[in-house]
Amino acid sequence: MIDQKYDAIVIGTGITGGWAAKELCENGLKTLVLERGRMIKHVEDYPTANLDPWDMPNGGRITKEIKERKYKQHRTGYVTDPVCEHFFVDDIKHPYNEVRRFDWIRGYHVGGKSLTWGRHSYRLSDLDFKANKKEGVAVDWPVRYNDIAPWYSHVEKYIGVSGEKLGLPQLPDSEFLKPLPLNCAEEDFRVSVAKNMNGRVITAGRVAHITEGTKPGLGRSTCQYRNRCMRGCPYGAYFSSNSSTLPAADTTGNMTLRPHSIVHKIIYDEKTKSASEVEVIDAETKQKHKFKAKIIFLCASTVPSTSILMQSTSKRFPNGLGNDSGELGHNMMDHHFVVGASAQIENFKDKYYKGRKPAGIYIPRFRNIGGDSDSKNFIRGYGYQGGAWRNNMSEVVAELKYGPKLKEEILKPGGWRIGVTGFGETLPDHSNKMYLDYDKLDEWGLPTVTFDADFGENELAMRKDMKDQAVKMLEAAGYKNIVGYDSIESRSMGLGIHEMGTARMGHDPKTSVLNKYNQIHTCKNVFVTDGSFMTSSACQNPSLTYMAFTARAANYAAEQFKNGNL
Amino acid sequence: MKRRDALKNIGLTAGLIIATPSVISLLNSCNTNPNNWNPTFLNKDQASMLMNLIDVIIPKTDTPSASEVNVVEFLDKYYKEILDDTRQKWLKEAYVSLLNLIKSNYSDTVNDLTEENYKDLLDNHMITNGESNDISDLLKNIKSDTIWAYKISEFVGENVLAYDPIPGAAYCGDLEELTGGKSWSL
Repeated sequence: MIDQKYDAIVIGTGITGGWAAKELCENGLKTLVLERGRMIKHVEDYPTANLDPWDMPNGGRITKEIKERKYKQHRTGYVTDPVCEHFFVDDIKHPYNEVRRFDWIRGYHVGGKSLTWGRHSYRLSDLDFKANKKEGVAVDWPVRYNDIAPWYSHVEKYIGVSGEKLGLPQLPDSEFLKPLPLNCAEEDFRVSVAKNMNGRVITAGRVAHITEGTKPGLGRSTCQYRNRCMRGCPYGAYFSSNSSTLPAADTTGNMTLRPHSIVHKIIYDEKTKSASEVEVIDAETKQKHKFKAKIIFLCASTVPSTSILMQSTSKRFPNGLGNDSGELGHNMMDHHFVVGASAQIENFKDKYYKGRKPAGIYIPRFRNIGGDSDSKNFIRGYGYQGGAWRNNMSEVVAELKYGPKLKEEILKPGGWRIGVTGFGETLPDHSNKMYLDYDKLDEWGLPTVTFDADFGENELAMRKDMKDQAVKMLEAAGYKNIVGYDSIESRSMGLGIHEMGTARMGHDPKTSVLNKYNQIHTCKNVFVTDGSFMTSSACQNPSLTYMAFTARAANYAAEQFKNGNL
Repeated sequence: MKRRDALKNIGLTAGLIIATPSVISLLNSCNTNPNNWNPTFLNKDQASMLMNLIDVIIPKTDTPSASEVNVVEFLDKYYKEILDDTRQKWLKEAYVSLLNLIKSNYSDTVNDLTEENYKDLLDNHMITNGESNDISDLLKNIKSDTIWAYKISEFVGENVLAYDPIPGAAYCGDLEELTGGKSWSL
């Protein structure tokens, strides 16, 4: 039975679903937004937003029970924290399989991972969009920087991105709000590295935080420097679907939001050669529903969107909707990280900071951007995130065993430390894949996902340089007790929570799933705009790019709809 | 939790909680007493020993001691609800070894131990330089857990350390001017 007809259906409410909903609704399309999880209302459903450690059992430490139920989510070490664990799934209720370890970190609720994302927001450049073609890797992006630049601006002006204009060709500037301030040790690092390493640039992390004024949405205002972002921000200071795009879509009167709706299949109509409806299982009642629409936006996040396409088989598409190329589910990428260095800073003992900044420093890519920067050992590049802080108690504490002197010292701040962690580009590789296991079904009778992916030789060669350069920069700044690290056991895919590439864009339907407007080449009323469309990973945090491509695709879809082409 | 309710009521009536002797005595009046509190991970002897030991580590001065902010009750619950099975097994055994050592060196009755006995225990059995052993590891563990639990207690977090729940700004400044030389609690 068909429940209802809409102009458009958006599957997913995270960072891209919210944008698709907003743009489609603002263009006048009656839009059904389907979310597999529960409702999360801005502010009222952030139960831990104002809790101090003493307001929580065990000071907010992760309990044995949570670690046992969320044993895969816990591999991150932080998403199972009681302050935010309610925004991440239970691995026993939502199982998946691994041929090679894959850390699949998921948020099944309205807002998805837009509530808990890292908020770092960087544009890709033509260095990234042209790289595959230049080097003969995978397939060429069907998009260049000039195509997407206006959409970056469109998104940035709406969400609010703080940062410093640098004019770097490899990391184009955004429409910035004022940058987060560097603390005195971070400023020292910036000055020393520029001076001693031929002008190498260190800047404030570019993050989706309002640092001045307000932004549209449900009362979005300036950051209060509490650094409790992952709990949901009662000030709406960082961008999330819940505080921003979903309320905007709702205001139009064109949005119907339906939580607890697990989409598992898109039906292809052989007569019209387009998708006609989606099949939904109600997560709570397990009842089946069908919803019809002229346009479908798949924004469920990379793995679920790919999984829905794989389940959407038909006579025309026996291997999954739009999968003539055989690339669906392949070319899985994530950024590789947990490699870098840290050190002790002996100066600034009389200095301290006020406020808990939600981000520290960013070191833009300086490798393989031409000339002396080029490496013989690997292609592509990496950036670093990092920061400087004071330890929370005096180092003297280690030498004292008991008594009033110990008590005095535990209340004083310790010395300064600084650390940087690299985030490196991963090359697309057909052998890195996900697929469905129909022998292991979940509680809704749907197939589970199996991962078989890992980083390759180029990434491993890059990591050596990521560690070496981190050490060299700390040395150049004159810091002490420098420790470089490369955490091999933490380097499986998924941990970066930037999984992408499994329904890639390209020029040719024979080698890619989507065209340059994120449309399935061979089923043009289905748009896939989450991370699955990424043709290469670049090294920048990807969410801003997902949002820009979503806004562009949604406006294109609305235009085509109005012209009667969809 | 009664202690916290009491403190919150003071906050409501006096407007501001400060570490005055009257507050300290109130803390004393409702702190944990092993005679009327049943530990769930430790046994009574171990809990009693721990209460006296942590007050040697963090004694009462013009601010509360460790037991006055209920660190014993906190650690007993923490051991049970947070630590994994391997760690719990190790702790159980190490506590037994520590109690055996205490009984053979000082007194069969834990309640008879003096402050000097505990200082002697820490001086001689917490090894900070050189090869450690289970007893020393446990003592060092108790020290670090006690410091952590003390610093995240409500009283210390809000009144002893520098507390700034909504900073509203971020900048660098002079340590003395910003916090009087204290760490931020958050």
